[in-house]
Amino acid sequence: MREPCIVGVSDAKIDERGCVSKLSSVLSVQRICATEALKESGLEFKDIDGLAVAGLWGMPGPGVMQPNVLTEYLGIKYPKWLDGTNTGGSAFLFHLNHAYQAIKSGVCNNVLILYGSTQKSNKERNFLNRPAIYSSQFDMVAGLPSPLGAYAMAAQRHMYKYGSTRETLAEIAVAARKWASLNENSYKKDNLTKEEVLNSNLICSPLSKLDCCLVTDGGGAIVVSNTDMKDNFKLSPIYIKGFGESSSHSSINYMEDMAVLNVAKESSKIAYDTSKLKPENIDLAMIYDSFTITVLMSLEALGFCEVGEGKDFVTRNNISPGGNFALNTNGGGLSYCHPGMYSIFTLIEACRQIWRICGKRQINKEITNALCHGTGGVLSSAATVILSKEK
Amino acid sequence: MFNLLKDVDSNEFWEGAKQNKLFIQKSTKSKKYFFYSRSFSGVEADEPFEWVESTGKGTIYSFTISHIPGGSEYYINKTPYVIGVILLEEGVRLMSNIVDCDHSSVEIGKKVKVVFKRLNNEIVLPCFTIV
Repeated sequence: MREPCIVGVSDAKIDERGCVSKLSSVLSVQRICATEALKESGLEFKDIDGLAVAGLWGMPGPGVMQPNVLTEYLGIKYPKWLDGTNTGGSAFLFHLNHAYQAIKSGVCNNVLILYGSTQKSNKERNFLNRPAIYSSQFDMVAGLPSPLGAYAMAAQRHMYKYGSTRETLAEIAVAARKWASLNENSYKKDNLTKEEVLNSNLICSPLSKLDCCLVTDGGGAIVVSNTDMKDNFKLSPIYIKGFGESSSHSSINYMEDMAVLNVAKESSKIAYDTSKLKPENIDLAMIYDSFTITVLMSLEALGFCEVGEGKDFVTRNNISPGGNFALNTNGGGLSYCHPGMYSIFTLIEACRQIWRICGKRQINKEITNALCHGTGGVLSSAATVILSKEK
Repeated sequence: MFNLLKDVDSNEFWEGAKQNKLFIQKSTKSKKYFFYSRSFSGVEADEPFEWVESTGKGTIYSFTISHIPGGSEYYINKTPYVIGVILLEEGVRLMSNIVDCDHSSVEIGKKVKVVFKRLNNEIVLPCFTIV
């Protein structure tokens, strides 16, 4: 039986300004990543018959129909399967879930998952001039800087209900920076102390600048193939053992309980059930860290500790390089890069750790199972993927 | 300035606010309240519903003190300001501003009441203040 698997990955190079090279476009960034990921995989462009893409570029305009733009730009001849699901930053984990099903059922054979962003070069990030429409009209009229303010309110509620503190969140930011210092492609590599995080100015209380993800350019590509193609592969295939996805709200006000990430409980329960694995079987956790609070709430919802016990978990465990709990070993969205929609990088890093090609940041122990988790919107959507060396 | 789209779901809410009334909705069958306002029941889509005026009393469910302007240019030069999620007595939550109080006194669980603030010619926002 053919089994879908990841066989190549790539992330875009960013410079000391957090930018891709001059004159790059979101399309050229994705093309370069695709070429490199294919080269790593042993497959070629002509093998690709499925394409998944999401991004924040080209809207209004061609970016509204990104799968068409990439099909045309890359010259992919009549792909049999396309996915433009956009659930926010979690989208690429949704794409992998969908690609798995399409390849498993024989709809297509080889899928490229693509992402590109030049938001830093083009100074695209802005909290203002958001139209007050649909369910977010109340938030926008009330002046909510989104998504930051929404995550801040969840953090405030989490602190009130469970006694987590700014120190708890600072632990996560500091560990991310330590990992990033070992990643050549990280935007932020300089040393960061807990005191610096605690003393940095609040932007939306209780979150400071150092609790927030970076604003950088970037991009990535993932080649998903299947075992029928195994004679072509250069690296050992990485299997998709389990996955789950869900969504719960669009505006933060309609999150059922702002201190509990129920949507991630739902997505991970499906992923654990399909893989027949449990949190204790996970050797590496790659958790989308849009904000420090996102990591804390995800650790709880994914079952690495009980809900409300995240503060004890990050103090009791060592989440830094050399520690007992391997978390976000690329430096994460907090310190490696954050081009706007980050979840593709959780997959890229998990594969590289499993392939043991991470250089200075390679974790010592053998990695059989890696969990990737992505949050989209304002704690709105969730997708969990469990990758494995084993079928 | 706000690019507010008053539509079939939200028009009555905003028109009510102009008359200093905080309108929420209630499903007449299950007797449950719902928010945000909709042109159908937000409890079960096929249930009947009615508009009711809220008491305007509630508690702070969560909040953030924002040091950057968000949403609309209106908030430039107004920082810091408090954005709060209020749990109304009727059991629904809405997001607004917490106003007319010392920012250091804002805490989750504190009792608040509605006060209506005119933002421009078109919009009156039901805000809340600590009681």
